[in-house]
Amino acid sequence: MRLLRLCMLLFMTVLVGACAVPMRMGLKPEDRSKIKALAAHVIVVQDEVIAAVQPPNAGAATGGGLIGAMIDASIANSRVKESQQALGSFYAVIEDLDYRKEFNEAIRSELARYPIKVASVTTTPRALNMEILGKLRNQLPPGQALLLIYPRYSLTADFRNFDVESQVSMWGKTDGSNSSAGSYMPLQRSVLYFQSQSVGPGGKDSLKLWAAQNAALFRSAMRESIAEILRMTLIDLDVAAEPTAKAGAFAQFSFNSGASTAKIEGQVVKNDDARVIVLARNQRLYSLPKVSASTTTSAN
Amino acid sequence: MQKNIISALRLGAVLLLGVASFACATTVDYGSKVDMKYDRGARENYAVKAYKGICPVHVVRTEDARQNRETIGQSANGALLTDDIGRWVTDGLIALKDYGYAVDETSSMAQPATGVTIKTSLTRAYTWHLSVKIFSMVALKAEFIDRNGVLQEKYYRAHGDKSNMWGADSEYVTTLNYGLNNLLPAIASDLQTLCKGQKVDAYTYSGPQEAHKK
Repeated sequence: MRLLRLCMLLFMTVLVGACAVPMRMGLKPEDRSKIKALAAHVIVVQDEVIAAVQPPNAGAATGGGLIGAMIDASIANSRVKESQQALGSFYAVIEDLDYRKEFNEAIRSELARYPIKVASVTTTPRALNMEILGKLRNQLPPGQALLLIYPRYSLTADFRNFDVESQVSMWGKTDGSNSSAGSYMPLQRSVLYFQSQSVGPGGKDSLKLWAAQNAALFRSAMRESIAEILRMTLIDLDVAAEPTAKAGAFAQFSFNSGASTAKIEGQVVKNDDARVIVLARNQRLYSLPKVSASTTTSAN
Repeated sequence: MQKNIISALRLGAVLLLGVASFACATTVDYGSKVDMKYDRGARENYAVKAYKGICPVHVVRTEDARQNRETIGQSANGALLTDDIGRWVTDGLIALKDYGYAVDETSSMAQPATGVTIKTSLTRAYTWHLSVKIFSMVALKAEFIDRNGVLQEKYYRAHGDKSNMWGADSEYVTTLNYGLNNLLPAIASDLQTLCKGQKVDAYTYSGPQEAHKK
């Protein structure tokens, strides 16, 4: 019976996945004109920072299957054990930190500047599922839409950067027919990525710097990340759904993946003294520290 | 054979579910309240060391002082909801009997006539996953008072891990039990020092490797 239930869940999940919701969906003008106010719902599942250990992909390399999965599990286990061990003493310094509370306080003031009126804000550790999403959408008063913000934060695997990936989506009131594929489509969706300034040379040396003076650097990066995610949420409504040739040249930006310096190609959306916001070809919106200056430019 | 096939199907289903739900960033079923029961058997395969020449230990019920007392993470089913889970830690501490200590439960942090009294606050208990593994973190603040009235404070942290075999919510509780059972050897070791009226370090972090060494 339990297996049957799991298979049903799997089937539903694959179906929802098969809806192929794009990484980035712009809010259509006709939808925007109907929204009079938003109910913001912030979901912070995590209780504290973890290292963004890269999931292994031996399973894919071996053609999938149980053996590959077992190899993956073993590698993941070893990587997490190593990183958590290194983080051990760092946790003692940041035990009082509450990312959820900080986000809740920041969003209440920042969203006052949102282009659409925000009628209510709920911050919760409870992960959403489709049933609860349906309920939240059903409860919406006429003219309101649901704004979901789902941040996940981590230290890069080399401990040099504090990263936050935030999934943001906007949902209209359901039409009561949860079975229709259309009811699972958001009105707007984007993925916002924040990366802090790099700290130290990596490994335990970086952790020492993050932890120094009662984790002053870490606390500062965490607060900056929240402010930046909210800033990106604010400006996101007016950013194109995807990079366009008309908007100007593409440039490359450096990004620490935790294992190496990766390159992101995209278009500059905002540029100030400390940071640059980039709409990347991968459709994510990145806020990167200015030291990750563009390296090359192409007119593509 | 049939059992193996069913196991493989279950693992495959969990894997696919994980991939699909990651892609969607939402889950599809419902959140439910987990049954937080201490399980002394949920541990890595290592021998529990029984100490000799030790004193009685009196355990005050653990305070659930987590910043987030609503959840211990999320599974493929949704949020893993909890109430006060102080009892779960208290039951774990009572299992210090396995390390050779005479343990009883007390309601007071007053100076004991014999042995050491321990009062704990649970500050973290959460799970997360990577690939097909579930990981857990448990953090405790402990206060010890001995028969001479000497008070000491200490932080403990430990993590645990297990393979996600069924996608069941109970597996997340089991993983937290792995974490708690990786933390207990550090307390058992410190109690030896505390029983002698000596000072312990201010902080210990234990992963599975440390639990093996004890």
